[in-house]
Parts: sequence; C-alpha cells; structure tokens
Amino acid sequence: MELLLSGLAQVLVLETMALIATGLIIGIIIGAIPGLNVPLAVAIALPITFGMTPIGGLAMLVGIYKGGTYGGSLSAVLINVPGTPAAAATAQDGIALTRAGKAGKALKMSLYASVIGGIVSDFALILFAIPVASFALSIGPPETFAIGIFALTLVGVLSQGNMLKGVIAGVLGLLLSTFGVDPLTGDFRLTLGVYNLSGGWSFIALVIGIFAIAEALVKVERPLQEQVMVGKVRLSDPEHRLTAEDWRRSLPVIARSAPIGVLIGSIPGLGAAVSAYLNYGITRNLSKTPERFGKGAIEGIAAAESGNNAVTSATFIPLLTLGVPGDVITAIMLGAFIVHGLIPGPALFEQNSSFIAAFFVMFVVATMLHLVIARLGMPLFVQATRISNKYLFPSIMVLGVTGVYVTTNSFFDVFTMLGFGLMGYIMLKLRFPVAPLLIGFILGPLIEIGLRQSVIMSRGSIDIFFSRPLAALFLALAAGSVIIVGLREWREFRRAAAARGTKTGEKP
Amino acid sequence: MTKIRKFFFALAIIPVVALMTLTGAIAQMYPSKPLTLIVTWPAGGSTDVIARLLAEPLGKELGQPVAVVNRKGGGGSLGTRAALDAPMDGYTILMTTSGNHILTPLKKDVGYRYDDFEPIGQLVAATLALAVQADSPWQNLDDMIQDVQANPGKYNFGAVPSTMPHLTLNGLISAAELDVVHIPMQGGAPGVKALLGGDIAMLPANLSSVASNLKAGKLRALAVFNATRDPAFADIATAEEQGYAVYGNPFVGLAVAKGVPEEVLDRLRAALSTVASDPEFQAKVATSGAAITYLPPDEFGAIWARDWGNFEPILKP
Repeated sequence: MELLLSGLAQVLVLETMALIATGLIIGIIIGAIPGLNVPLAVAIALPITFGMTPIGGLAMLVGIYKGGTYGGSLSAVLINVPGTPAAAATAQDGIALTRAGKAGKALKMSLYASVIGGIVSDFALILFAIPVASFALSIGPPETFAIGIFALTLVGVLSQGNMLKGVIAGVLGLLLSTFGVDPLTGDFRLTLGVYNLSGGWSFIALVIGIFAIAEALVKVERPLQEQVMVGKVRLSDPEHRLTAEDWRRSLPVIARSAPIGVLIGSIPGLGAAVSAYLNYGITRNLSKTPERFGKGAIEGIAAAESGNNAVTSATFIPLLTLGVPGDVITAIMLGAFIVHGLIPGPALFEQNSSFIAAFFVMFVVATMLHLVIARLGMPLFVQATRISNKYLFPSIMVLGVTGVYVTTNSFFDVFTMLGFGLMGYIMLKLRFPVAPLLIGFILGPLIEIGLRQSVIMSRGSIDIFFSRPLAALFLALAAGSVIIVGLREWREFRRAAAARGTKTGEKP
Repeated sequence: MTKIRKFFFALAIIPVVALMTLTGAIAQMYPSKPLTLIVTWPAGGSTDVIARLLAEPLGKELGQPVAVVNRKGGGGSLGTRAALDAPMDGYTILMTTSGNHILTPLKKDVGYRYDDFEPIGQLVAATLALAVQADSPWQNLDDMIQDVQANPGKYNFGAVPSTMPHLTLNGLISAAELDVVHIPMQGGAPGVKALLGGDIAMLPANLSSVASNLKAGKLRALAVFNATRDPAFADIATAEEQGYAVYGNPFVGLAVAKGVPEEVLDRLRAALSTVASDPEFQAKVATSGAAITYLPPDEFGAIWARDWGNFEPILKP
C-alpha cells in the first residue's frame, strides 16, 4: 500500500500526466484513422521516449496503446471502417446504430465499455498478476489449439445471417494465413516463386484492403452527396442517449467480457482482436434475442469493446511476471523498458518495486484520463458522420496506401493491399461477410502451430487434446458452440421454409 | 615551354583537377542526407533494440540522422534483399545478424550470399546458454546428459528452427549422442514461456532473453556455449569446461552491399568504430543484456567466412 502511494506521488506530476494525455490523444487519432496502426505509432514513439524518465516514457506509450485500442471503434461505429482489427466486431452493431441515427448511443457505450474493461484489466494486473500468469503458463500448445478452434466456431456469428458464406470467408482467411514461411520447419511454402511472399501476406495490407479499400470502392458506386447524417449531431438528443434498458442489457455482458478479455490478454499470442470476436460471439450465442445482433444490439458493442480493452493491461502480466511480451505492442514496449535498464521479468518486482508501483498506478490514471479525454472529444468525433463521402473515402484510400507503405516499407504490400481491396469489394458485392476472413487469418497460425507442436509433444497421439483438462474444456465449448449455432440456423431455416410453405399454400 | 603550350597544358589539366575536386567533394559531402538502417527482425527484439540504441550516436557521428526501418520476414531475407537492392551510395546500411546473413541463405535460395556484402564492423557476439527450470534435478551438463541417455526420446527442447541456439544445441546433441525431441518455437519469448510452463525440459537461448528469469531464480543455466565465461553471469560454467567443446556466438553487426564506394565505406567504418568505443553507448547496450564486442571490418568479414564454412555442410539442402 505504501508502495502504491509512493507510486501515486510519482505519477501525479504534471509531466507524467501530460505525457499520458499526449499518448492517449495520439493513440485515439491513430487508432481511429484506418491505415495508421497502433503498433507502428508505438514503434515510432519508442525512440522519442528514450530521453524521458522511465515512467514518463512508458506513460506515453501506454497512453498510445490504450487510446489506440479504443480509437479503432470510432471509425468502426461512424463509417463502418474499423480503425484497428480488434474493432471489426464493434462495427457489426455500431454501424447499424449509426445508420439508424443513434451514433451517439453507440459511441457512448463503446467508450464506457472500453473504460470499464480497461479498469478491470488494470486491477487484474495490480492485484492478480501472479495467479493470472500461472494460468497463462498452463496454456501450452494443446490449449492454444483448442482455444483457436473454439474461437473459429464463432465465425458463424459474424456471418451476418449467411452461415455458409461466413464459413467460406473464414476458410479463405485460414488458407491465406498459410502462405510464407512454414512456422515449424522454417521452409518457404506457397511463395509462388515471389520472394516478397516469403514473409506471407502482410497482415496490415489485408486489414486495410478488405475493410477500408473495399468499403471505399463500394461507396464510389453510390451518389456522392450521400451522407449518413445531415445537420449537426447533438449528443444530448434522446436518440443519442443510453437508456436504462441499454445498461440493463450491457452491464452483465461487460461483467463477463472483461474478465475473459483479461485472461486472453494474459496468454501471449492471442491479443485484442481474438478477445473482441470471442466475446462478441459468446454474447450472441448466449443471447435470448440473437437476431438483434448485427442490427444494432447495444450489448454487441459492449461485449466487443470491453473485451478488447480488457486486454490492454493484461498483456503486461506475462511481460512483468515471466519476461514474455503478451502481444505485438508489448513486444515493442519491451525495448522501452530495456533502454532504461529495466529488464521485465520476475526479477523486476524485487529490484525495482518502486518503479513497478508507479507503473501500476499509471495504468489506472491512464484509464481515468482516457474516459475524460474521449468523452470531451466525442461531440467532435460524432460530426465525422457529416463528412461527405466524396471527401471521406478518397482520404481513406490515400491513408491506406501511405499507412501500408510506412508500416512495411514495401511497394509489394501496397499492391497486395489494393488486391485485397478488390477481393473485399467482390465479397461485399456477393454479400460475403469479410470479418470471418480476418478471423481465419488471425487464428490460422495459432491453430496450426498449436496442433503441430502438440502432436510432436505427444509423439504423434491426439490423446493430448483430451487428457489435458483445459484443452478438453475448450474443445467441448467449441463443440457446444457448433451445436447451438447449428440448431439455431436449422430452426431459422425451418421457420423460413414453413413461412414459404404457408405462402404457397394460400395460393389458390 | 612556350606560352601556347602552357595554355594547352592548363586547358588539359582543368577537367582533371575539376574532376578530382569534385570526387573529393562528394566524399566529403557524404553523408548529405539521412541514412536508413535496415533491421531484418521485428521491432522490440534484441537486434532491434541495439539498432535503435546505435542509431542516435551513429547519426551524431556522421552528421546526419539514421532512421531505423524494420523489414522482417522470410528468416530475415526480405530486409537483407532490400539492403542489397538499394542504390549503392552508402545511404542504406544493414543491421546484419547470423540468422539473415549466414543461416537463411544457406538453408534456402534467397538470392544472396554472405560475400555479397562489405563488413562495416561487428557490434555484438551474443552468449548462448542452456536453460532449465529452477526445480529441474539437473545441476550441470553431465546430470542432463546421463538422464537423457537413460531416457531416450523422453525429453523435449524448444528452439526456433535452424537458428544459432538450435544448431548449437544440435552440436551438443551429436557430441553426447542424445535423443531429445525438438519442439519448434516461434521466437525467443515463446521459448521462455514454454520452459516456464513445463512444455519443454530445456531451452538453448540468448542469455539476454533468459537473464531476468535467471536472476530471479526461476530458471537455471547448465552451461554457456562461449570460449570463456560471460562476465555478467560468471557463475555459469562453459560447455567446454564441462567436457563438451561446443560453441555458438550469434553476431550482430553492420554491413552494406558490395559496390559502395571505398571513401563511403571508410567513413562508415570510422564512425562505427568511434561509437562502439564510446563508454556511454557501451553502458546503454549493457543494460539491454548484450555486451559490445566490437570487431573491425576485416575480422568481422573473417567471421562471416568462418561461420559460412562451418554451417554449409549442415544446412545446405
């Protein structure tokens, strides 16, 4: 406790607070702009922080991380282009609310769910780092495989009503993830003799292509003057307010999604996007009214946003307790620790307890500032719906091209992005959902590596998936999820068939 | 000499002198714009951290900023190719490592060899250690080797396929005739997690990636694969001391594509040598868990040739 108080004294100084706020503002902007991405922003800011105090430098990076993870939901809700991969689940219901003229409602729930998820994550890091880390250690290759399969079964819920097309898109994502280097042998595979493909398809090019470029291409076909909303948007208007009913639907969902997000964040290699989809999928599967999802279900936004923001502090649990970064961004931030002579890992707690205390306090302060800054900025953000498409989408195209080039330094990846944009456009025209493709692409390597490592560990036997309780549990959940979704689809199919039947029956 | 002849002589000499001053001026002008330092591994990794620490003092020394650019993928070959394909003006420098420079081009056809590059100088030769969990019954290499020999095929080890840690442990495995199973890992950090989680029994790793867990007593190192003990962990015996002459020292250094003008090479080499001997820079790198072991260009180039020769018979498909 004394340590935390001394930490508070280190954090509540003007300089540190200003750095957190700067980081948050940069993060929200970068996160919201499709094309610019948060890992890149953290990597660019990293050398700038070398000259700062350790806590100041890390405060700014944590601000960018937290702000960026949230910022992706802004563009997802307002213009149906998720700024970050993790916000693709938020876009499902967010854009539906925006089109119904309730953008403020979606933005508010997205912010409050994010902040609650963030706070839960902060306290998990401070209070339960050790037990959560030992949970993370019990997740070996068989468990990773099982979690991957479980998450994959939820592809169906992001299919926007067409299960078969969703599954096709998901399989396409899995297929695309196999290009490049074989993760276990290091051999090249499916490179088609193109040396630029030896690293596989660029993730950032895929994300920007299928979401931003494809959406822009679709919009090009429509009348230029079309806007989502006309007239100034006032957040205090009744349609932009959160009602008691909205909260009644969302709070239990947040209470479930945030802890799940913490556990996913603590397992190295999963990350915010997996958490967002998993929580969105679980929430829809458990809902009594699953048909509302994708059509503006407020609890869908709550699940996705509390789920992905609950990851942000939890990814530091394996970094601080095991010395293993939890995701791409914490891997980059590892550099910031090291430059200041702080080697993350179990030794850090003993040698630099006062730094750790300040670091912990800084997370809570950052989440509080996040609430304040994002809420103050919201009246401004929401006006984005009034920008005419003739300015909006050309800008998104330009940002996409620059964003990919700045991130990968490769023109090949710029063309890759345009190719994926075209593919996404064709998919949208044929009413294929694109989110399952992204999920397949993210989960593919997890599932492949988990499966192959497990089978090597068990010397060729598949018993390993059933003899390890956690692996068996997740596989059972996966089976349950398939059954629930399958039954629902079947019932709906029957109902639709019956409806058709009565119609034809009425004919004379 | 008549005046006319003098005149013609002068006329003839003007372009020569002009050319000489011009080339002199070009050499003095270098570098006249910012430089790019290509890192072939992802941001935040051990190589990237050294590159970012180096960029600032190197830029100061050269009088132009040095920008770090990560071109990861293809076992480091994408970034290496990018350095080779860049204009040969010395404005693109490669942060090169054993992985992308020696091992990847030996394993597969990536379109370059170690000698397509000119060495600028070596910065770091990392120490490799063999780590086990703290509660493992093995206290030294002999304990491990006896147990493994008594239980062939029972134990796993983790390593990124065909990297220096993997190949070095393979050296020990063949020297002691061991039967242990390789679980391919995706990086240094996942290996540490797998060891802590008990999925593997031992992990050959860069000392810097296990340093924190060694200090905290969560892991124990059975040996380092150095010629001499690592000064930061002087209590860990070398493999050689324990009767197994197995060595592995992955290098990190700077290189440029062959064909870069000599004056530019000299300028870069002098700058790197100055920065590498700066105590402030050395101290910064030391906090990252690595130690500066600077080698001048000729010796660095000799290490390339040596490692290429050593690994060619093992890796060539």
